[in-house]
Amino acid sequence: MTAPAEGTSLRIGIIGPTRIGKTTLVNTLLRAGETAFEQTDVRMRWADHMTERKILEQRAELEGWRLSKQFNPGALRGTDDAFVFRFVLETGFGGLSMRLDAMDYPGGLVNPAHRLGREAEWEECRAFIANSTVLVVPADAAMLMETAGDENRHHLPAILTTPEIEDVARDWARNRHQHRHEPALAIVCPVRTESYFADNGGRRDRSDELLEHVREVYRDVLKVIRAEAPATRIHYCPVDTVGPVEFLSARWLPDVAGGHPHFSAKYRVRRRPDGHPPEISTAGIDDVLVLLARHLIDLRHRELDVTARHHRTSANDWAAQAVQDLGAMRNVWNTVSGKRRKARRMAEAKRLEAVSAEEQVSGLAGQLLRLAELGLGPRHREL
Amino acid sequence: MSEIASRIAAVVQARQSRLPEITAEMATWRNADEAVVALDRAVTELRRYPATPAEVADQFGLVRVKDVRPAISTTVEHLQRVEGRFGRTTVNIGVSGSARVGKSTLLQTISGLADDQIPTGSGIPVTAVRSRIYHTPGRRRAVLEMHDFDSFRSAYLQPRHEELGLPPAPTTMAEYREWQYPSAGELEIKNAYASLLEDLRDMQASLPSYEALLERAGRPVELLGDDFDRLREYVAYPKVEEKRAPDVARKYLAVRDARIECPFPHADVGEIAFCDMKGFGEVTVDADKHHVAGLQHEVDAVVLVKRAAEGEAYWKESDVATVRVLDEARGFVSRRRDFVLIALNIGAASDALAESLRDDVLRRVNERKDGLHHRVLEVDAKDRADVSARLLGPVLGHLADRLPVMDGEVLAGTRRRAAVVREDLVGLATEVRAMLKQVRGLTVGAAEDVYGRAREMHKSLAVALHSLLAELRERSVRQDPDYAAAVEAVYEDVLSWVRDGFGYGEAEWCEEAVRSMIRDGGAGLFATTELSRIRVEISRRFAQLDLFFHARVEEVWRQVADGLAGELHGVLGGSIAEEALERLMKLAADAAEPCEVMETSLGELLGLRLDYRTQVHPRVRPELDSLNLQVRDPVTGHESFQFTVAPTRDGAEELLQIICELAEQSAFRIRVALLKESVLPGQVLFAAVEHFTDVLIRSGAAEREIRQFARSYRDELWPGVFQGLDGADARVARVARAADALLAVTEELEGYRS
Repeated sequence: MTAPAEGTSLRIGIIGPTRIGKTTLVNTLLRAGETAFEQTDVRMRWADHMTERKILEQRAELEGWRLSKQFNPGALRGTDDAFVFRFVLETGFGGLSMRLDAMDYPGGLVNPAHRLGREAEWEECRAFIANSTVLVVPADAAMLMETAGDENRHHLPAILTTPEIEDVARDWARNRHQHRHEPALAIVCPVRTESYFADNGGRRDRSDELLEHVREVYRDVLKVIRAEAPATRIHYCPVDTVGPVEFLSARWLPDVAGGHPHFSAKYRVRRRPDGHPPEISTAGIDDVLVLLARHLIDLRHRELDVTARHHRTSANDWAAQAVQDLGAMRNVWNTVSGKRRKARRMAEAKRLEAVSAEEQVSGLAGQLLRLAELGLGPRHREL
Repeated sequence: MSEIASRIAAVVQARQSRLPEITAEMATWRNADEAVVALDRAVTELRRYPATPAEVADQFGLVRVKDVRPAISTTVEHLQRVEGRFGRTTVNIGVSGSARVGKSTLLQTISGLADDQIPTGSGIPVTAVRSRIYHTPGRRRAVLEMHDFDSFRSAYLQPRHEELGLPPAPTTMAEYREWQYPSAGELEIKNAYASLLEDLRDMQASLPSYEALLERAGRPVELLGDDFDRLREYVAYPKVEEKRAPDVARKYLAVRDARIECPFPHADVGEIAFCDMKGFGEVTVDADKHHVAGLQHEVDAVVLVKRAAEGEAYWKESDVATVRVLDEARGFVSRRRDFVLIALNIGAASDALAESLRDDVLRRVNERKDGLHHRVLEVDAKDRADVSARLLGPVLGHLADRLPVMDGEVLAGTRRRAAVVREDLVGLATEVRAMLKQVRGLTVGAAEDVYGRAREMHKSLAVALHSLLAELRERSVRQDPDYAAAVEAVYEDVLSWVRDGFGYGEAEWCEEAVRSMIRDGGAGLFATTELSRIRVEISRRFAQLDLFFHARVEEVWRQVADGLAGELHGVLGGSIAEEALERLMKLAADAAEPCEVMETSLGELLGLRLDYRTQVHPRVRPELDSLNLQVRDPVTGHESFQFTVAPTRDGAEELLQIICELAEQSAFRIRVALLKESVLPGQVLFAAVEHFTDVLIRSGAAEREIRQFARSYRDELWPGVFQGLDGADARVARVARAADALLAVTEELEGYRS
């Protein structure tokens, strides 16, 4: 089972090329995780100091552009080395929690051309993703939307590394299929979608167009997931990664090394009518959180359900043993030797364990129900 | 009037009554000849005409149209003889025979004339000129038809020159006068022709005696009164003694014909005339031919005089030759005995001689059956009563009986011969018409050819436009790199303008902003005004794409015109592109048979517009919405300001930044929107040309209008073809008409059967 035993971490695999916003997405998840589950007692927070530091560093960067009203996503530091974000998902019931790991790796490793000498590192990343219970595929909304009709659009597969993503997704889907008794979750997550929705201060709703482009460009990725792990539920969750920014313009800059040109986008900060600095808001991230929480708690629920059944079965076995008629002499001996007493004690212990597990199962079920009641936002689609 | 005379008169009248018919028939034959000439000319023109297909020319080269003309000419000659025969007002009897048989004596007896008019003599030939003696009560005169130098030359000089191998005879009097004939012995000639050279010398020597007569230009000499008695001077050879004189007169050489009118002693003979045929056996060239010609044209019957004299009282070989010649002159008269009667002049002969001659003639002429081949009469040429009883009466009685039959035979025979020629004419005309049918398909009428060419033109235009459409269709479904480049160029132009402080420079713009904001007490008015200006200017700059669009439209016009020019270059006069299409549209409107659908389709194509403002801007217009200070929240529907800045220098700089960002954003979005529409120009152009092609090539009126257009401008579309074809057609038509005319004449000739 993918769901680890108590004390081990579940994994969230995030696959995407360099500078697509993986780190920013994780950061956004964590930031939202503090307030997204207000009515459910579910919380997600960093689990270790390293993760905390990483998140706070980026938050400082984002705060800086907020105040300066200058946003340059290219200026955000990219990931040079692999880093594992560690989270804790508190289920909100009985102290039950789950450890989550999300690996942030250099996006350049995805591209074989940039992987020279780092094959072992990439294999480690692939293994991490393949064994993840959730697959998240970020997509650059601006690149998808602002290159329609552009002669450079044919570079998209190479720049977005969709063939490599398909490859990794295949590995993940096959692994999921081997654990087909477990739910599988894949989320296609367009990022930097601020310019294409009207629910965040934007003035035009081009969400349908964005969805169409995602279906088109990531078609093969979706196809391979469906083929290898038919039970997987694939969700579409566009996310405003940073808040009140708008795509301004873009250029294709030639690659000095002769490779594919580079899509260089510029953004502007939306002004507030009152002139004050804009507030960071990340529409759409709640859907990702809710989906993650449901999935992970569901996993935990199933695990506990198995445990509870095991305990119940064991308790019944011990109870049966305690009153088992083995014949007069044996009955007398078992009583005399204390075996029957021991069996009775064991039965009681297992019964209590079963009851405890069953209470946890019930509790988690209740949380799941509350999470279900939270619902998903209007941006969400199931693919 | 005696019974004979009445019958003779009836014969003459009957002939006269048929004259108009003969004259008309001759005229018809002359028409036939003209028709043949016209047909020959038409066929020749057709064969020689450059545009006539070679096969046609070769076909008609096989037709020998003119070959039939000699036969027509002969037919006309025959009819002329018939005309002459029927036109005579007298029954003419020729008197023929060797020299010295008593012809002149007989004529004197018949006519009552003397030696001065009808010379007689002994020993040598006397009569030099053929004379015709007409019974003319109450008149005595002679009318002498004169030669001119040319006819004299033809009759006397040239035949002798040819026979003697001399150069051609002199052609003028002066030349003849100076001509040097070979002296005796100078020229090696056959004995038989020695006299011919002597004749030439004698004739030249005697020139002064008849020169003046030759120069009368054909005016006849009339001898009346006493001059009548001088007739002998003009018609007789010089006597022996006269020949000894240094200046021998030979006036007869200038006399072509002598007509003598006098009352015959036998007044009841009626309308008759006797022709004194020049003697046979005289050594002149073609004398016999002349004799036959004269007999054929002049006489109705011939009395061949034979004299029972010593050495002459038998039927000689020369007599056989004479009868042969006379028989040749008989023509279509079926019985020899109808045309030639033999008169034995036995007046001064002994019985033995007479008997000898009579017996020989019976045996050798009539095969011992009296009258079998020829009727033989005996007469004393000097005895008037005898001549009347035994010659005139029987001869005139014979003619009164037989002339109607002979006339019929001559006419029938002539018409039989004419019928053969007529059949030849019919065959010729039919052959030509049959050829015309065969070659009809080769020449092809001009109208048919236009039809065929128009059909082919229709197909060629369809192929050319189909090829163009294929190219336009392919361009309409793919990105247009030229369009993308044009969009990028305009986009960069807008960016440059934006980054240049919207045309003012950043510093100047900020300065103006500060001043305006301070004046207005806020940024709103200035921002609104500037955003509007910028919105309009961005739109205006992007509208420069019209230059690209117009170039595209012009290119399509050029391509369409090029496609049409393959077939229509003759009417386009070197014009191209838009000008060519406009010209074509005008031609369609001005055509002799107006082509309205064609005109309309060209007009629509020329009205094609790819226009940024009307076709593209509506699609990209929403991208300019952000260039407003006040915007509408799409969720709540509330209006609110996008931004606000302080009316300070910092505020102005921030305002500049905001508006630059909004402008750049709008420009980029317009760019993206335009690039998404990159197939639009191709689609518009393809649709326009497709519609044009459908109308021009496939509409219900297409085939008809292309045909009309072709008919209206065929000479420009296919220069020289139809002039040629028309010419060939006209010539073929001319041949057809000529053949039909000839056939019509032959049908007319059909009505002249006996």
